[in-house]
Amino acid sequence: MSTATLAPWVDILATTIALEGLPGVPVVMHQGMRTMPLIQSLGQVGWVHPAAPLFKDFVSLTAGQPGQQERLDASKQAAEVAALLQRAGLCVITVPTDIGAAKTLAAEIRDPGAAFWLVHGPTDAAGWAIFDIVANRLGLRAIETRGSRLMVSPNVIARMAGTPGGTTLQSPARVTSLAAVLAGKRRIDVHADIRPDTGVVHLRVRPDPVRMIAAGSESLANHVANEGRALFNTRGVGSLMLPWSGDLTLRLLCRNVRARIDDCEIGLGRHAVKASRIDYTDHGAIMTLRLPAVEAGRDALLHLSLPRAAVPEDGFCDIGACEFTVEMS
Amino acid sequence: MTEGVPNTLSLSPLATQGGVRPRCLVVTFNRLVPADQGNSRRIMQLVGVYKRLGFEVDLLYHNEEGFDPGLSHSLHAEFGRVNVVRSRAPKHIHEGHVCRISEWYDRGLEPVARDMHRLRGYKVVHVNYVWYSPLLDIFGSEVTKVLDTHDIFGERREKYTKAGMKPQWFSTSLAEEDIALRRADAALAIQKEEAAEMAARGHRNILYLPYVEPAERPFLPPDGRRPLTFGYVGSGNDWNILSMAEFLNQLTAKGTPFPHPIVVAGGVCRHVRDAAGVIKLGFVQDLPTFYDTIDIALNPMVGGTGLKIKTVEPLCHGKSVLTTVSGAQGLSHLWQLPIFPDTQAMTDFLFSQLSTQTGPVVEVLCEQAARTRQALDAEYDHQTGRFGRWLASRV
Repeated sequence: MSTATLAPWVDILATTIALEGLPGVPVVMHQGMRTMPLIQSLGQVGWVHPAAPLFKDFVSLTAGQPGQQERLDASKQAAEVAALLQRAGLCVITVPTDIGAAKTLAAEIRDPGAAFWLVHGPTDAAGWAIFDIVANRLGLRAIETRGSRLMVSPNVIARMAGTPGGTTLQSPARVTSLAAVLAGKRRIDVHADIRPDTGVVHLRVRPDPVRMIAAGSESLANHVANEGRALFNTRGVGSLMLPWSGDLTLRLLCRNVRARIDDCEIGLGRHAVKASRIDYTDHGAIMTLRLPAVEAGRDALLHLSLPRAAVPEDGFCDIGACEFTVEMS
Repeated sequence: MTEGVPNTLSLSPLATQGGVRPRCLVVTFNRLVPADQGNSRRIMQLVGVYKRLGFEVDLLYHNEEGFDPGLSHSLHAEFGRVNVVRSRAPKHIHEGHVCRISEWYDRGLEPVARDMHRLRGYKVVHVNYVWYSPLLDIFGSEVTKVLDTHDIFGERREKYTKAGMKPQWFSTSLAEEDIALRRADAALAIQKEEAAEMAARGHRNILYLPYVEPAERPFLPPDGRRPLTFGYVGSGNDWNILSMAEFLNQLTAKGTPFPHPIVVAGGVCRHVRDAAGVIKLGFVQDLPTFYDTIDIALNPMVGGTGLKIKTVEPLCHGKSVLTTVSGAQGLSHLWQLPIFPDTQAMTDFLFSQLSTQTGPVVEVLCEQAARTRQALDAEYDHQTGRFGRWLASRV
């Protein structure tokens, strides 16, 4: 199993652990700009990167304007990273493919404390040369996965044992149980079902689009914060974070578009993406896209450029809703 | 903006912890940019104090005064982290103008403040106004809790009714205010008299921290190139309207016009009647420019609550100021300029001492203003030093 398909399982496991209570804030370390919508639906998560992301993203506040997501640059904010790790109740680390990035991320990891630790990555990720040492120091243990590696702290194993699916990572029972709990708590619109013929889990998530938008400029970030909407900029350019590693189906409601957007240019990493379907409704244009996995270590950012004619002169287009569906085997 | 903190030698930055500056969360409903109201200026002054002490300051803005992209940009430039929560406090005012803290406090702040604290690990939380004090209870004992009171709100309605005015804004019982004060490790009083009053009610956690504007201009007597000009600037609040009306009544009661122009600026202009020799400017965008056009400031307050910022403000622009007992409330122990018992005495002084041959009197007022400024600076320096040392002992 590649990291692309492991990432949602890790999010599910992290969220399951967090729901039972954490001794501190969740912290995620990743080489690229990513999002984990399930754990992030429970509250603020601190992100740590080996270099500062170029985009700003947002957290939804109860009865509030969108706030900015905390993303620390480990290469320049080592002291802040160390302080954050001291307050961490859960640490989720995706092992970088680049050994320099791995050294930067690992530099401030000292002792495990009371936190729950999950360290995962492709088996051939160069960063394991660093994180094997970290895992040994933290006393982490391997959990069996296919095609990737996952190391966890003993308290994770203990907590897993008490949850549906037990100590199996890729447990459909854990997914469906968690989806029901999150839906009941109204934290995030999530639904999971298991295809009876294949046993594949279909996980559908509809996060607040404001959580998924990324602003490439301070001006756009201020407008998003003010309007509380997932805005494209005045030229019709918008960036959307993809949960986990991509490799999913996305349905996107683009609102306030003034013309057809069939010619919308869409980019994901090195790929140019075409919508497989666009439905024009009273609410806006609903775009369906089948997205490939984002390469390990890269930002999971989808960039859209709407046709000029579709962009209003006196306002913004925005993303009114977004739905991500991933098949998990 | 926070560069305008008066210079003080007594603030030493606190030690970093593991290379990380200690963090402070400030909570307020006040729109802090532009800081053109007395309360927002007071808050930004405290932000400046925390920064000089080495804190990184975050803001939880309880949006009651508007939010826009420009404000978002300015706040993010000023603060480490900014979160904005729309206010849903019901703010009931009951019969007899009684307000309950629980009905002016917004519990919607709590999950946001908790999340911010989990992520940022604050050493200090600083809330403004007593009805925000319940928020202090969600923080553990490891966080130092500061409440800036801005005013005494226990039975505040009485000050209005005594002046024949309808009470405005928040006024609660002494008992509720006492509960609020006890929630804080330190409750800041902006006036010495207020600090004494709170201490007399049994509170041992009161710290007097005056408000002083940074000096913008030196004190120089008028150069005689224009007529001697007097001025007043104030918002359209009830106290200002009442005070200006009373002052103008006293002025016109003299029967002869005052021989020097009196310039009035600010929102109060909409409520000021016309009078000979009184020039109404309306809203002024730039306060330094206004003060450059006058020689002596007037603040003929007949009452009011809290610190009279308009008594202190002219001193930072190099202008002497004539005020009443009410206008000098909280400052009288430092004040070197004349303090008049009422507006009649002020107008008597204007006509008797500042009608003709004004040079020597103006020069004396200038010297007195400079000495008052020095006294204010020394007091501010002393008290912020105490505050800084107290914080250092706790953080």
